[in-house]
This record gives sequence, structure tokens and C-alpha cells, in this order.
Amino acid sequence: MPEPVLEVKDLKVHFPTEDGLVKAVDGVSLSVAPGETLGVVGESGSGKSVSFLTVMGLVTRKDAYISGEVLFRGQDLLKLPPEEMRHIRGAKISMIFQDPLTALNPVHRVGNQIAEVFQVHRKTSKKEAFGEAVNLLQLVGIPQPQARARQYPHEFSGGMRQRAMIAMALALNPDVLIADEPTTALDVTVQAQILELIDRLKQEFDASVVLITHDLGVVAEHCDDIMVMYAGKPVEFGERRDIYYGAHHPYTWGLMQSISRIDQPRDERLKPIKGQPPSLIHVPPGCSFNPRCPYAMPICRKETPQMIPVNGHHASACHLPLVEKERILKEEVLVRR
Amino acid sequence: MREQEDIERVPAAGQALPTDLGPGTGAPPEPAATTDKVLTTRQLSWRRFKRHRLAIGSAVVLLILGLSALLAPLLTPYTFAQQNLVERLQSPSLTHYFGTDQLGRDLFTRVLYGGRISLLVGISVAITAGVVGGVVGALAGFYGGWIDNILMRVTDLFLSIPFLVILIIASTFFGGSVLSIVGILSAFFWMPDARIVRGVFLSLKEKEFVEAARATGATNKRIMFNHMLPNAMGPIIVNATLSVAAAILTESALSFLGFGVQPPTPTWGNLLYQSRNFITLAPWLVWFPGLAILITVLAVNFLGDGLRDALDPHQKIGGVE
Repeated sequence: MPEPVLEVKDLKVHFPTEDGLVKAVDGVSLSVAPGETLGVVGESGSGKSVSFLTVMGLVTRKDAYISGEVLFRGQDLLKLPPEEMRHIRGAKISMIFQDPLTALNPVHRVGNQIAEVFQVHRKTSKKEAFGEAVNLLQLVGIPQPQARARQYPHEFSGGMRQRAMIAMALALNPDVLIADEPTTALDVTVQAQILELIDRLKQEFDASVVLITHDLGVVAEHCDDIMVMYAGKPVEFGERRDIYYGAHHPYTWGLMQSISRIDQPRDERLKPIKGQPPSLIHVPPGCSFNPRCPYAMPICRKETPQMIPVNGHHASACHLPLVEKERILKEEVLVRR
Repeated sequence: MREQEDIERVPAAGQALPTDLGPGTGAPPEPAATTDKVLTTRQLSWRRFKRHRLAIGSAVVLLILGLSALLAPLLTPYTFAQQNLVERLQSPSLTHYFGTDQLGRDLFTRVLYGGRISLLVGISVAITAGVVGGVVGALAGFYGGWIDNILMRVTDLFLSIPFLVILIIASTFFGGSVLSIVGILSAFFWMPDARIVRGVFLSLKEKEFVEAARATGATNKRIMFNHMLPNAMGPIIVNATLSVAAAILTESALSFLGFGVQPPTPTWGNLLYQSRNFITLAPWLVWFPGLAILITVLAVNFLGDGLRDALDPHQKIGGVE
């Protein structure tokens, strides 16, 4: 296996609040190989965004308690002085956000905003940077890039704004692109285009991608590896096929059963996961999924399950015996698909 | 064109749905992009401003006042210090539009030249206070924590000083030149700006585009002044306009008490001050400088109102966006 570009080891991000310690991220480990796309899936509040904001050094609360390691090409980013970290942000690791309208500054022309990346990281002249921005807009498939670069974000459609954000993120040919729910705020028809675009550019720019989403359906076609997170912890990790056809965690099963399918019988209802995600202040003891898990056993309320490898790099954190998992998977989960 | 369409379709290729071009929210079809003009924020603001009749009228009045102060030498044959004791205390006439004072100086001329000082003081104070308050507010709102705490407590401190007393002491100390008056007034005018900018920055800080700018590796300075400040310009401009009026009034009050810009340089305030002894004998000496102050302050306030409506992003003209 090639040297990973990005490696996170036992990352914990805790925020003290008046009500208690919020364990937003509680022991995340992962690695991203060059050219790989990693999908990170979980409900709101599962810690997926916070994990990667931490990787970017964008958790600005001074009282946040952060531990673990974030290794980018072997260098621990958490130990880097802010000024050096700033040189990595946007140049080596860049990020695109959920809502491209709010992520673009309403008072600046789109072209200038993209050009800014060059001005921040290289001593490019304003005019040159603007020219680069126009090229990038063309690259991400915006017609008439020359004219478009002179327009303001509100003159762009949702899909075009996200394209502009992608252009900005890829401007300096980063090693890792972190896409935080890049399609959530977009129309369904545009979603697919944006994901295709990320795929295409990933290859062109030879970058790795981390695709954060709450929708297993979205990552299906576009990821090599998938990590499922719950309540600040990874609960299952594996190659795409492992997750889609051989998932071993009840939470992953729940996620898959809550995807609507076009070939689903009309009278069949979606099966949502019962209950609410836990409060991150009072995480249930033992396995944090146990209150919502239909297969919970007494041990689940006492002991926190560890990530146990099944084969290759497929691993899951669940107390159920392997035989039992295989049985449930075959008899209850895959049947429905 | 052909080629560009192809580029647009590349990502869409392999999609079952033939929808390309990526318009999410009813934007015009692509080829229309350059012909069908979408209004910029600035144009939208101008549109809203134009509907505000009173503000337009005020702007015109202020423009006339400003120009006539600026072009004073062309509008009057007299100079502001030119005495003519034979023609003292004359009532308004065709030779002296506003009459003359106790030394026979032409009041029209003195009001025009006084306008220079009053307007200059008002505008300079608004700008200086706006810059100082803007920077203080920006730093406080952006960094928060102890920086915010210190800066805001200093702001509170300045707000709790009985400033007229300090103004009087300071102006005797620093003398009554225009520069020192501007400095002294500015020192007591920046606090509202600081509070407003801090408030705006606190809310802007949570905006995603600020996080996005940070994610591109922008420095704090760049984020503050390139990304956040332009978004805070609306309230800053409005407040600056209103402080022009306040500064003119305060300067007048200061001059009236005899601590402002010193004679013979006329300001509207010291014109009033000098006329107080002749109020029954020559009431026009009170009327005209007083009216000048009244009209200016009123107009500036109306203008401020108009700007507030025009620059408030929460108001949208129907059907435009």
C-alpha cells in the first residue's frame, strides 16, 4: 500500500460548554491514499465535519480540547505554527463547503475571489491571477468564463457557484480536497454533475478527495473507501464493496435501509433508524448506538466496542459475533435490496 | 460557443438526465448571461435610494451647500474679515443678502465661509471617527476574547465621560485651530462606530464565506479588511452620515461657548455666539447661521435615513432577485 497522503490518528475534539463536555469527535483514525476518494458518512452531529475542520485547522474556539495526530505527508498539522498551517490551507489541502452561496463573498466578483487564492499563496499580480481564475472557470465547465468571472455570486446558479468553489479549491493543485457535503444544497440533477466534476478533476489534478456526506447514496459511485461515523466515532470502515454488500454494523444497515430505491415496491415503507442521535454531552455508556440498535445485547451497554478488522481493511466496531452479523446481513438486510 | 457548450456537457455526460448547464435556481439560460443584465448590489442600492424622495432632495441641498461653501469667493464680492463700520448692523438687502454684523462684515459671506469650516469639521470628524471606530470594532469583533473585552471597556469608558467638559478643557489646552477641533471631536465620536462595527463583525464571523476564506489560507488581516469590512460598509456609511450632523452640532455648541474654532475665522457656531448680544437689534445675525445649521443637520439626517434603507440588504425590490 502506498504511503498515505493524509493520516489521522485517534483524533479527539472536545468542547467545554456550560452543560458539560461536548465530545464532538472522539477517537477518529483514518488514512487517505494518493488519488483515493474517501467517503465519510454519518448523521448530522456525528462529528464528520468537525473532524475535517480540525484537519484544516479551522476549529477556532480557543478552549477546544484537541488531541491525536493529523499527519499530512508525515508532518503533524496539529503541531504546526498557525502561520505555516496557513500556507498549507488552500494550497496543499483545500476545502469546499455545503452551501456555495454563503461560502462565496457576496460583495466580490467571482473571478476576483478565485484570483485571491493565487495572491494569498503566490506573489502573482492581480491581472495574472484573474487570468488564471478565468482558465479555472473554464476548466470546471462554466461557459463564457471571461464574462462570468466579472459577475457576482448572486448572478450564478447554485451549480455554477459550487463549480466556482471547486475552481477555487483546486487553484493551486492541492494534494487533498475535502468536500463537506458539496451537493446537499443543490438540485438533484446538479448533484450528479458536481460529483462527476469532482471525480474528473481529481484525476486531472491527481488529488485525493474526502467526500463528507450524510447520504450513502451519494458516495456509492464516487468513493473507494467509506467510513461510517456515529456520535463522534467511526463505527465501520471498508472498501465501497465491503460497505454496500457486506456491512457489519447495525448502524450501517440502518443507513442503507433508509435509502429510497426506485425499484422498491410501492407499498413498502422506508425503514428509518428509530430514535434520535445521542447528545454528545451524555453519550450512552458502552456502544453509543445501543439505545437505537435492534440487536443490542447486555454487553453493548457496558463495553465500548473497538474497531475489529474483518478482512483487508474492512473493520467494524460492534459486539455482535461475526456469524450473527453475516446471518443478519444475508437474511434481513440484503434481502430488501 | 460550440466548444463552450461541449465543456459544459462533459461532466453531464453519462448522466441519464439530459439537463445540462447546471442552473439550480431559475437563472437565465447561459447564452443570455451577457445580454440579460443582472443588477449588482450597488445598482440595487441606487434603485432603492432613488425611491427615497426626501433623501434625494437632501442630497441636492447638501450638494448646493457644499458647493457654495467651496465656491464662496465666486459668489460674493466681500471677504469674511472685511470690515465696514459705516454699514454696520444693516438688515438684509440686495447688497448684503443676509445683512451685516456689528463690524459691518457681510453676513452672507461669513455664512458661506463658516460653512466651509463647519462642513469640513463635520465630514473630517465623521471620517476619522469612522476609521478609528471601524478598526477598533473590527478588531474587537474579529478576535473576541480579551482583546474584545479590553477594547469594549475602553469604549464604555469614553462613553461615560461627560464629554462637553473634556471638550472644553481639551480645546483650551490644544487651542482652537480646525485641526485640533477635528481631533478633539473625533476622540469622542468613534464609540458608536466601534460598537456598530463590532456587532456586524460578530455576525459576519459566523458566515460561511469567512470560513471559506480562511480555508483558502487567507491571513486574518485579509479576512478582516477584504472580506468582512466591505460587508459591513452599509451600517458604517449610514452611521458616518449621521455623525456628520452630530459633529456639526457639537462644533456649533463648542463655538457658541467660545471654545471652538476661534474668530475671526467664522464657523456657524461662532457666528451664533457673536450675534447673541444683538439678538433684539439685529435678529438676522441669529437667523441665518442658525438656519444653515438646521438645514444642514436635517438634510444630513434625511440622507442617512435614505442610505440606511438603500444599503440594508434585507430589503429587496420585488422581482429583482
